[in-house]
Amino acid sequence: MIRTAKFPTFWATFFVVITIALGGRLYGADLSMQQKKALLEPLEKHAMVYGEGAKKVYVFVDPKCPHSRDFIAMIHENAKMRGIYRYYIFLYELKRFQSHNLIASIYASHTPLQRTLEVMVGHKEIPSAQSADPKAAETIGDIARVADEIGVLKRPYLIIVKEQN
Amino acid sequence: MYYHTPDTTRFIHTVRRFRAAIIAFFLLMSAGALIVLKPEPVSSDTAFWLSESKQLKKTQEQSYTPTYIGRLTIETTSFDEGTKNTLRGIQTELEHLDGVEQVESLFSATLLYNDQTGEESALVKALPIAQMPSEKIAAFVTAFPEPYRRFVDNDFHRFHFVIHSHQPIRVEGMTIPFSYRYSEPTVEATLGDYLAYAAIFVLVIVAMSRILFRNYVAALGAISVTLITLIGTFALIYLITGNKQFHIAMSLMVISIAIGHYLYFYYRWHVSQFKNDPARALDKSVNRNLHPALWTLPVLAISLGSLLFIDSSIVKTMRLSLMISSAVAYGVSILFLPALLSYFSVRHPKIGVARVCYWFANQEIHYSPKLLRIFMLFTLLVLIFIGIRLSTAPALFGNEVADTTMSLKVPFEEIDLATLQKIETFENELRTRHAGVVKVDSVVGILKRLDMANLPRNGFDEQRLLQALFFLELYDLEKSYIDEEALKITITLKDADQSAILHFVESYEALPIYLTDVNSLSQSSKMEKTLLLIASLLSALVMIALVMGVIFRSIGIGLVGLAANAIPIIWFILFMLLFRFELSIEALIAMTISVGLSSDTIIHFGYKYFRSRYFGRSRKHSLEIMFFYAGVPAIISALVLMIVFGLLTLTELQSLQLIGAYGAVLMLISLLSDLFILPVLLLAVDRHRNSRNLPRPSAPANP
Repeated sequence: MIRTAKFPTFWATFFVVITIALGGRLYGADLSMQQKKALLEPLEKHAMVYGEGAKKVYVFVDPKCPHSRDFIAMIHENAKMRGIYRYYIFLYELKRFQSHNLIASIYASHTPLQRTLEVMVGHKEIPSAQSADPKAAETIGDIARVADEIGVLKRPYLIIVKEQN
Repeated sequence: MYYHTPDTTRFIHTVRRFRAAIIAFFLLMSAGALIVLKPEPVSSDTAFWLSESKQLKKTQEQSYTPTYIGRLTIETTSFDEGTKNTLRGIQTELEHLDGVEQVESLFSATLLYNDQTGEESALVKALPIAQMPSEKIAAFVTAFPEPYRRFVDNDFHRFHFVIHSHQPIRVEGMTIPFSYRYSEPTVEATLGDYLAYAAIFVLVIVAMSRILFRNYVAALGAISVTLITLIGTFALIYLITGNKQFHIAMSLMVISIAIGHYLYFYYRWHVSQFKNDPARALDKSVNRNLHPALWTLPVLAISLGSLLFIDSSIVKTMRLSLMISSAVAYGVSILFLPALLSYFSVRHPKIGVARVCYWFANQEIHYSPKLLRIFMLFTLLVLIFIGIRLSTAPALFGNEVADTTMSLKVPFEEIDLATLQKIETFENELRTRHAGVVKVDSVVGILKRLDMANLPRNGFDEQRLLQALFFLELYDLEKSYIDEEALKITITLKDADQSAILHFVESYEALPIYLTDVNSLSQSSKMEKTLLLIASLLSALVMIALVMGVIFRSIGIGLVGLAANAIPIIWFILFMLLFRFELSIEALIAMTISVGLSSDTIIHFGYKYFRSRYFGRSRKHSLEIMFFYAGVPAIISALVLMIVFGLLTLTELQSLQLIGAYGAVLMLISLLSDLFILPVLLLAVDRHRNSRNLPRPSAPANP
């Protein structure tokens, strides 16, 4: 009698905890915009800045992801959208594309934005980095840490910062 | 007074002597006025209403430009790839017409989706629906009809293009290989429309001339008197107001007044030739009509003159048209017409209507005072009902619309959640309170669609709003929903009461909303002016009654004047309420025509009846004389105008159709009132019980 009474209580508690934890991880819903900004602003030093607009857009893309490529191509072809927004682009791997080395190679280059556009818009094949560049590795690590905290699961993943008057 | 017979012998002699000069003077003056003034006919009443619209002023203070909204409906037998491409071509052609801002249709719509394959993506994609194969379009729209239901019917046979433009658009020049219907109520008539209108008038006049008078002189006289009155009236209105434009409906008012005046003079000249020579007939035509026709002028001038001070150009123009046309028609009838008729004589002066006159006289001499009282009481009840409706319902006249699009603007500083929430609340309240709101299209709807395509979850936070706005800009969709200073809202109505919706929008306080489409602004102005216009009409009726009472020196005649003028108007307003006709300038003009003609008829009837009674005729005989000399021209003019008005409903132009419908109905009601009620009212107020006791003039004249 006592065991049957405790069993559902335990499982119910377990499911609630798991759901809350997963929910928070999946959607990043627990972080407010302020918290996200606090995480993202220090990361700007690793961003490839594209566009001259007043509104900030943080974009997480995988260079091999077709949707990310579509998105970057649209931005590249749309001068109006580069005039309204300023894109802080972060390369962040989607595991199934195994793009870590490509990302490292782009970050290791002298002109990461140019290289990104060549790969993602121009579909250029570039050699992946064989040896880890410590600076690129640090960049990838920092981005992954913040993306993980925010809960970036999509590519592209957008965070748009509201314009302050 | 009515028993005086003016001696017009010398006058007629002078007219006959200078007849060529008089005719030439009138013709030259008219031709000169036509050439110098170049009057501009307009068929749409929009400009009149807009000129005094408070809503338009509000809209213009926000620097919003009013737009015209037209709807092109195309019917196809099927929807295949060929049809789709043709309809796409029509969309492009419409977009390239001069003045077109935007064309909304299935072929301008966009499919929003998120192409999530394996992994999730935040990239929303937009595909113009027109780029999809026709079968897929049909399947997609059938599955998700809500955003597209205002553009295509369920069976994919009827497609709607909603055209927003800076000026009225005509589609007649386009190549549309399907049957189509284009509704643009503010579109102006073409020369062809005006010629058709003139042709109808001429044909009816010639037919009347041949059938009733068995000659062409009556037609010649009617057409020339009407033309000269028309030109003279608009020339004088131009000199007074400086306005060259005249509404086509106002020309109908002038025609009605001119024909009314003309027929009394011509008819008397015609029938007098049965016993007299043409010269004496001409004399009788003038001296028997000089007074009653003249009395119409002070009646209209005093009763309508005060209305000219009302701050409404519509009221002013209509009243001015009525007064001036009456004065001009009088001048033309006593100068030009005798000069013209003096060249002719009639071969068949007998008019086979005497029996009809005897029949009416016989029937009405035995009228039942009880029935008359019941009828008057019932009419009074109708008036009270209209008064109650007027005080309780802000939009007295419903405006039931089949398919209409309204456009609104809401000023904004920032598109944030609070603004969107307010718009959404407005949309929900609008839909809840009013039937017939098919779709409310605003930035809220498109942002939610973009959000749903991105992340189909409930709740809409600031980040999701910013992302939706981002995609709105990315795909260049914002121009349909946002301009520099305002958010656009488009409301699609089907079988809805537009007046009630306009009232709701205008009195909505939670959001500053501005009407921007010309049709809604014009409709709103009509609602603003309803009370003023009806009050001005009623005050005119009261003034007419007072002036008639003074002219005939009888309170009874004053009351007859009030009742006989008011009865057609009251019953016509009831007719409009019951059949949900909208108040338009056409309806007001029809009522004004009725007031003008009824005043004329009452004076002529009263003049003939009391003159005969004064000269010792019995009540029955006086009625017969009244019907023969005043009733017949009144019946002919009412019939002619009813046929002209009735034929106008067959034309293509909505404005003319409305004038035709309203005019014909009101003319019928007026005629019935003149034939059945007015004589009975005259009998009821007749105090000449014993004619033998009446003082007789030294030389009794023939009535």
